[in-house]
Amino acid sequence: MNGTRTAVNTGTRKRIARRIKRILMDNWQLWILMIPAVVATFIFNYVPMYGIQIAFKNYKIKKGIMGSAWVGLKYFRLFLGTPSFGVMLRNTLALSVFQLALFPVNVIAALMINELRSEKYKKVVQMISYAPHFMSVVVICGMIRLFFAKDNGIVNNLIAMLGGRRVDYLSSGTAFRYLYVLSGVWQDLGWGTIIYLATLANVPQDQVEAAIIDGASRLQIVRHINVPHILPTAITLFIMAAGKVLSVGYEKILLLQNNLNLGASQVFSTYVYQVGLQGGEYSLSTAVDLFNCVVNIIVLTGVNFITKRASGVSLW
Amino acid sequence: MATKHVKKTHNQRFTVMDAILFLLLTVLAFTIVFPFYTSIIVSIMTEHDYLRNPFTLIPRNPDFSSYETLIKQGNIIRAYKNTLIHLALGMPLSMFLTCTLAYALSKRSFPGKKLLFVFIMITMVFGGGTVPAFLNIKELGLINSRWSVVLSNGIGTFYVILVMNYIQTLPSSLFDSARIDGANEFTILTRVVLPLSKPILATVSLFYLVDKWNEWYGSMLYLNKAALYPLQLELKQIISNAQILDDIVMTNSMYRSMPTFSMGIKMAAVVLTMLPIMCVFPFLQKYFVKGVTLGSVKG
Repeated sequence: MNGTRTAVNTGTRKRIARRIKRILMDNWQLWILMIPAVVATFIFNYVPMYGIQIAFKNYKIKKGIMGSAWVGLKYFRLFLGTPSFGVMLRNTLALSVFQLALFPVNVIAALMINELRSEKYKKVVQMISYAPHFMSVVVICGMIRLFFAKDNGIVNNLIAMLGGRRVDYLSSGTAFRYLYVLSGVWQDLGWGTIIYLATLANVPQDQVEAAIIDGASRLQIVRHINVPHILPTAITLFIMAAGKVLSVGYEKILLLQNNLNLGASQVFSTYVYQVGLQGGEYSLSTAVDLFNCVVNIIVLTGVNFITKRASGVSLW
Repeated sequence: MATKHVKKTHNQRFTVMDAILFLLLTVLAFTIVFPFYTSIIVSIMTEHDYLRNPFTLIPRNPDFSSYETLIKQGNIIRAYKNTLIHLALGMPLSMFLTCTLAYALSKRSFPGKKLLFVFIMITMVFGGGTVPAFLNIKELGLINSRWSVVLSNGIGTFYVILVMNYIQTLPSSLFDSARIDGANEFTILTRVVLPLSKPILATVSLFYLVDKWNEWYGSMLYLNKAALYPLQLELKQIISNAQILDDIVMTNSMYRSMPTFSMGIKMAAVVLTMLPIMCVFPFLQKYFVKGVTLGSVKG
């Protein structure tokens, strides 16, 4: 009995070995080409995943990842039990929902640009509107901080010039939300229209002509032909945006954050940075990060599932 | 005849709606340009002029002393140099990794391809997170080494997919004939595939270029020495760190007795950071647009 099993095992092992050999030998040139990329991905993307275990351990630098003691879900409980969890969840949702509410802005901008008569002017508007997309978050946030500074910023100087009282926008939680979301709209307004404009370029011309013959106005054409034409694209992009409802742009938040607006600007990923890399609480930070990442994947999959059921449009 | 007439009126008459559209989009364009323009204007204003009227469209006596101060102090030049080093190391690396990987993935099938594809795609949705990544870099001994930033930004998965999709559209007969002529995979890639993929390579290298120019987060995590800061991180310091500004002001006072206009200096730093991208992007935007539309077809 035992003997046959080993025989079977060696048989399978041999077969597997042969198969691996075949996989490698048949395409050895390809594999050699891929080695650098695979190794780089492994070292910089997969090795860190191995480090996730410190979320379940009491990580001590001296003991290392392997040597530290397991503590189970201690850090998850700790984190979920703190009042800051609720605050962060609320802040994240507030920013995301605000952003999602402004989702149609890009669609409307695209429909408008598409209606421009002069091709030349269209090109000019498009080119200008793409520009902010290429600016780094540091530049954008730098401009925000300089323009809205209380003492010497342009906006407050204008308010003062008009006889108003200076407002400290950078320390206000409410102002933070507006600054964050609206600067995002400003930055990606043009860039977000590209896909829609590309789709609108394929609107079937015979439909448009038929509508014109039937006496449709331009507005009616836009409403009944252009809008339905870009709707599937818009829905797909909306799913993607809605799926990311719990992952807000932490880089920008980090750059606009200060102790005074923390009540509105603290989100999971900025907390991860503060607690982990500034505070040195590696295990807690990793636990929050993992929690955030897993919840994000669940939400993305969930949103995709629901929209697939409801409208037949899906990401995968 | 009748239809032609209808079409004509629809297509050529400049209606009230056209006027409104024109107006709205012009306002929009101005809203987008305004912050950039104002930054440039404030950076060449004197404090005196700025306090009198911050909304000058054309400054009466443009003054470049803010730039002079920044450049004399030297941090920004050093940061420029660091960013250029990151680009010089990172661009060839990223393009090499992207091209080889995309070529392999573009193959219709070979044993192990699916596994490889999943292996790469997983990195788009799941990663170790900030602290494990930091510990990994530390373990590798790359803290305070430029390679930490260069290597950890090596592969952009999305860009690999763009290149892969493009290569898949190339006629496979070309590869077959090259293979019959005895070319190996590396030769096919460099002699056949890459020359035919120039448009997408241009697009992807521009995306990488902008990403690397704008990179700051990894640098903040992995580089603790100010001497290694790239441009974006230096700008962050100039804007948010009062001490850095004091330092600049002090250097300035050694050269001149004029009071330093900190708003002007900060704006000048913003302008210096965004200027290179601003200058090149109008000429390159068609490549970027192509990248987005290509990505949306399959991605």
